[in-house]
Amino acid sequence: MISIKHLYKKFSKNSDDNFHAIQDININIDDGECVVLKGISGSGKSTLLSIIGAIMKPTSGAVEVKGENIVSFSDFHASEYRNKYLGFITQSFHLFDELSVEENISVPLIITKLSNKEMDNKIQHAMDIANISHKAKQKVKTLSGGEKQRCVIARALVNDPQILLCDEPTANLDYDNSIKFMEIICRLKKMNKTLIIATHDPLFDKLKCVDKILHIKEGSLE
Amino acid sequence: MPNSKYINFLFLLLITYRKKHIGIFIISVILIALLSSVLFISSAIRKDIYTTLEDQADFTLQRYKAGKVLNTPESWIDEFLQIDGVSKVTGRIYGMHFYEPSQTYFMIVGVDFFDNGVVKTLQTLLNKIDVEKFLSRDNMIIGSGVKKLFDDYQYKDNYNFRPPDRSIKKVYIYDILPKESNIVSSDMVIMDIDLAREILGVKEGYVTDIVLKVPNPKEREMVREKLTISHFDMRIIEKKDIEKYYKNLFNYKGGVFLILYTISLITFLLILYQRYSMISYIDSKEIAILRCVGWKINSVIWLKIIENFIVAFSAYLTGVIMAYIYVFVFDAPLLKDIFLGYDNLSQDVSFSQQIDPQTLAIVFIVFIIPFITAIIIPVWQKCITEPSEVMR
Amino acid sequence: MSDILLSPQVGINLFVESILFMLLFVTFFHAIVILKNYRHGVTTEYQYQLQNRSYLLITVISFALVVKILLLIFFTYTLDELSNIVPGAMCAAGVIKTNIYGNFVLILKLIIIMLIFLWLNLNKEDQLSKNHLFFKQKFYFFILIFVFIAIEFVLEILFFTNISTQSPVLCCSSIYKAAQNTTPMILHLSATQLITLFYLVYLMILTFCYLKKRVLLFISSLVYLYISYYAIVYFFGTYIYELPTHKCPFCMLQSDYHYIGYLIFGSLFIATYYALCSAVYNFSAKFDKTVFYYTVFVIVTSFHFISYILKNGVLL
Repeated sequence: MISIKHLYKKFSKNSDDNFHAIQDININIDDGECVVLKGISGSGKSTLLSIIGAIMKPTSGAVEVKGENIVSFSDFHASEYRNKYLGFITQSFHLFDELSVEENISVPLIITKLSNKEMDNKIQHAMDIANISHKAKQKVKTLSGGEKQRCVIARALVNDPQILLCDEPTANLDYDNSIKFMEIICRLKKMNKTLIIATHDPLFDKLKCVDKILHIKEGSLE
Repeated sequence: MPNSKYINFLFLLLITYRKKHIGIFIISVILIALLSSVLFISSAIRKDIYTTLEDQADFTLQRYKAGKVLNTPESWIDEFLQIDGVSKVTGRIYGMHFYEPSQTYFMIVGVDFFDNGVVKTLQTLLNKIDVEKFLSRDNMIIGSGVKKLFDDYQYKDNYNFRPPDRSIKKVYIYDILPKESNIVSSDMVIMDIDLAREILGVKEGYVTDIVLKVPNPKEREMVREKLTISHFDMRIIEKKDIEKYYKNLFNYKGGVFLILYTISLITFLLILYQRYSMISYIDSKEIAILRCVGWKINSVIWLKIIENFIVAFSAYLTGVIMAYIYVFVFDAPLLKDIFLGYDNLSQDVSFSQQIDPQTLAIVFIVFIIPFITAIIIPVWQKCITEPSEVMR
Repeated sequence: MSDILLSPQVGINLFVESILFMLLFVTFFHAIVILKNYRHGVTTEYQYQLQNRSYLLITVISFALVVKILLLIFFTYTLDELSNIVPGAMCAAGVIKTNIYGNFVLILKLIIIMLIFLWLNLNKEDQLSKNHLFFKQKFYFFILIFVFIAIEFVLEILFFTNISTQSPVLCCSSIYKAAQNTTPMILHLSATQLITLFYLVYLMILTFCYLKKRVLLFISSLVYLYISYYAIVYFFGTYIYELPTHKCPFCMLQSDYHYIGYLIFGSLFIATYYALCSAVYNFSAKFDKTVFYYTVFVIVTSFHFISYILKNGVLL
């Protein structure tokens, strides 16, 4: 269960110029829920995802995941949290272009204490779910947009995370690939993953596996 | 932590982004090769000189008057033989011969061929020396530097010396000293002691200097005292003084080199610091991806440091191997002249192959540690940037 | 003096120490800034930046540890090299005694390495705790280490610049000579008394580890360090060299004696580290490791002595 309480985030370049990215957001997300955050660019969706993902610290407020307030975590624990419980899927893919699909997917596992065999099994399993096994040895820069997205999904799933954070996942995909992506989302929902998707793609409005849609405007929930 | 996938990932990153590192790698190789070459040469020379010095006499005595070295009376030899602890006393005749056309000197060394010890030493240098044949006429054995000089001036098998008494002395070339001994013998001409006396104009009853052997080291202090009070117009040079002199000479030359080298190294470190402070988009993206998938800041910092360490270490290995080939295979052209001095005859020297582990350790410590020190702060600065800024 | 400074090993020692010192100096400034401004539990951007600065400290101090260990070994070899130009010195022991700074430099080097190991232990605990429990303590501890390093740096320069190549020094048999079969430590114990104390304190340490008495363990481990040094040099060392007058802590580090010195001093160092860790830090009691390493130390140290008696049936 993810519980966000009185979350504020203020960016200040100097003492006069403050930008309130998030203002008093309160959300409760149950395990296995699929939540869509809707809002225009700059509304604070990505900032919220970054805070839930513990890659950014809020100005005030709490984000409780499994009863622990991740906001006060040191980098040591925040990284462990990200590694074990989170998977990120972003619009710009953020892959190592010169490495192969398999090598990209292995990156989250390198710092774990798993044996090589266990790692290979996990990588294979993730590639199967994301349907990218046939491109395992190919370099990422030779893949199409949809294939890159599936590679990112596989990397996000390789550690069997409980929570998946998707930031504008279909922004760089065409219609067909967007549909394929949403099929994968529904499959993941069936696997009881908690999904938080920040998007302004209208295709998600009609997605059956979405449990709730939250509208964010100027850093607050509508 | 370093499982095979980690190492694989590390090398993949290095190979993929090798263009980033190539400039630094090349400069590092040059700096390391330079430092290693100098250290290899100096330790090779040092070893050769010390080996030569080992056979030297324990004391060398010269007549010294009003700041000038004069020929030493031969009568002193019997005097010194009386001192307890002295096992052998020999008079030596040697001197510099100035060859006007090429404005160079060579060293004429007179050798008593009836002294068994002497002939043995020479025999180790030349495969066999037929003493009778050598002494049958005026013969000399020359170093390779002298040989080159003679060849340049068309002296095929003999040379005419002009002693101070204005006569002409034709001396035939008997043999040439081997290249391996060139550090000490390149400009040497070895001949019979009486011939040397004639050519150098040393009067009968005099020698250039006197050498003593004192086999027991504990007696040397006492012998030195007795020698000091025996004659007041005498200079005493003990073998250990020569060792110390050479050691200090090497240290001095080495020290001068090290100062200049240190300046280049510091400049390089500043360049390195600047270069790695430039945060490129690729670097930021790489680090952001790693942070997002759960790598700790510490792990990312260590990955980057190890990456740079591998660059530095490969440069170290390459530089050392290049230096080895340069010094021991090609005999270090250009650089050796700086060490040995090229103001007299050209030094056609061959360095004896040897790798001193301390030299390797010195190069490692002087280069790798400052290298890593210079990149720690830039690496840390890159690694603490917010991944969320890059992920947008 | 200039002979010494022109020796490349000395130049390199000082050069690398200077570079490391500069890095630590920069880190020191960061540490001061953090200590002045860090507020636990406050969630402003600035506080997060301060937390990020702490990673520089961790990296630098871990790197400094590696370098300090390498430089300690290099320092020992430098001293050995210098023994060729310092009159009367037969090995590093003689060079160390050329002036008053030598001993202090060596002891400080060892203390610094020990402190850095202890710091890393504290850092590990801080990172494992969820809320930076020991954040400020880390920095105070670092400042203490930095002060030691600064003193060591200055003393090392003074040491090298005050080595005379003119006046002779004593060799180890004079330096370490025992007057009338006593050792020059406090209480002027005889060899028998020293060895009895050596084994007795070892047993005490085992007892304190078993009973988990931290304060007593702390005191006894420091006392044991002191006793062990003299026991090694004045007693056990002579059995390694099989020569009653050869009392030198350095020769056993050489290849002639199969580098046994590293095992002896290494195990003592590690054992002391674990003892101090267990005693000082409540969280990382490593009593079992303490017992293990002290036992290894005692076995290795006693080995030559016992095998000599078994072989020859007499004492030296």
